[in-house]
Amino acid sequence: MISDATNEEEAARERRLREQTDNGEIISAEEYKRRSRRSFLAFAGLGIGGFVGFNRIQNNESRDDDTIPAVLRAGLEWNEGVWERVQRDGAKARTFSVSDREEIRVNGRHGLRATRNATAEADLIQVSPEEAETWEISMTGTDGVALDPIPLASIKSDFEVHDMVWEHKCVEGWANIVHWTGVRVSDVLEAYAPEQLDAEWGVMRTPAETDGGRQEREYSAAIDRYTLRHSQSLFAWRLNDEDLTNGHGAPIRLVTPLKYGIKQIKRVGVIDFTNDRPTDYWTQRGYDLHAGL
Amino acid sequence: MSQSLDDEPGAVELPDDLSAVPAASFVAKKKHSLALRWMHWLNFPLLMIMMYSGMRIYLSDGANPYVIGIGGWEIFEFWPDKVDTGLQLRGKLAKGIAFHLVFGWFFVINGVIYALWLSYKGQWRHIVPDLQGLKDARKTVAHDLHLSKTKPVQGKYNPMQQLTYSAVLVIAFLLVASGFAIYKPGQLALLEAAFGGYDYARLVHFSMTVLLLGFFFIHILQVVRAGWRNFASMVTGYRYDAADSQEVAPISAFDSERHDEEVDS
Repeated sequence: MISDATNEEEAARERRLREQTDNGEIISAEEYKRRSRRSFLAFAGLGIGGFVGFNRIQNNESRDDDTIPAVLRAGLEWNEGVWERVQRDGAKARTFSVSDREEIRVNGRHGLRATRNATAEADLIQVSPEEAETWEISMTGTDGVALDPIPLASIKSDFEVHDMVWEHKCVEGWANIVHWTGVRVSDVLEAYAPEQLDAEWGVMRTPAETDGGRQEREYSAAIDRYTLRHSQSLFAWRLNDEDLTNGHGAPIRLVTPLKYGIKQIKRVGVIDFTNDRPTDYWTQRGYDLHAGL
Repeated sequence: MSQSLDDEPGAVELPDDLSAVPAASFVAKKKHSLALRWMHWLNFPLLMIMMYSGMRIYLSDGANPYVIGIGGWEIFEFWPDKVDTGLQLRGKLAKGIAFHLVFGWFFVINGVIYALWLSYKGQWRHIVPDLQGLKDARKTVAHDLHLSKTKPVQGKYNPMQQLTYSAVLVIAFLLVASGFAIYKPGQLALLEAAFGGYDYARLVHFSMTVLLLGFFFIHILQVVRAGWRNFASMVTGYRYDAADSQEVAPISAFDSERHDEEVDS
């Protein structure tokens, strides 16, 4: 039976529904066979083509100094352009009150370790109070010439100190509201390297190794000019009202809610300014150069 | 889709009295336009890539899995270890993010075109149930579960299909919106706030994925139940069937006047 209707009202409704939504052309069996053959061939071809295409992307070579397929890297760069375009100057990340703050785990230890794959706090390179007192951030300008270093003591005493509470986000997906104490990166650079604030990038690095046993100081994070100048980018030395532990980046680290944690380098020892597109520790390992939020 | 029956070569004119058509006679009726089929099938590889890469991202934070449970009693953890190891998902976060954030655009573009197309063509009427359809949806379920012999009257899709396809649209919208909230919680701070914060946006994103996966399996089951000719119609655009079947009947076969005669006879 054609109709599902059991009374006149349903029949009228059915007729209306079929008219509205199921009023397609009707063709003969022969014509269907001709057209369906074409459709199935196209369907199979597109299916195989899609599978081959996906595999080609999977196996697509990476560029030098990278680990993800070059097409995906190009895609990430395209994304970057999109989000740069909708960037609103002066926009700030959401902040919270101090009472909202949470504990945060020590996650990345790259650049801090005394030995490869060390995880315990004791296996990290310890920065002694004496070393912290004389800590300096060395800099090179866009012309490659070394600039006067920034003494940590000056960072802590010569600038307005800010307490900021925001949600720290990890590329792994977790997030914690944390309370940082520090000074604005832009204030410090304005005093120590004002002309470098025009550089497109500042690549921050953990310090060079200081003695034979400390080979793992190798972390770097490239930070774009917008972020370097942003009022929510801090050089911080306190986390949740306590001095930074070695695992969290003592004696001084970068923090900003504009970027994932992989960009908020712990234990800053070096800043190299450049106008050329740089790479850094995690970009070389397949992550986005901007890693912006 | 209001083409007349004979504006295409090969169109046939059916006799008014369908009982006169021999049982062996087959015809095909247009069901899905080329655009619709493209948009439908693109979802399959795109969502496979999105779910696979999404699981790589999700599993990179092994410390905080989503768990279904009551109190401290854990019923189900996403995902069971066999899934993680079987699909080799761990330790591939960078590639997972890259695939997710590149291919996500194609899913978004496909969805936007679909939404525009639905409104422009008025085809949202095909999938959004009316009030009566909402009431009838449970009857379809009862019929499918063999609890009831009668099924509600329908257009191209039955009321439960309409309800499900509409729900999937909402799910996909929430999936994309929460995805953007997680992707750019800074630049799209209002969107993040709309979901109640970052962690809730993640939970919504994950939950919608699980719902969509649930839909996928039920969809496959129903396609298998509906048979080859139904499946083929999503490839060819045409439903091929016996000329006296409901699936390929012309509108005239649903004439309410004649219906009364049929019931009488």
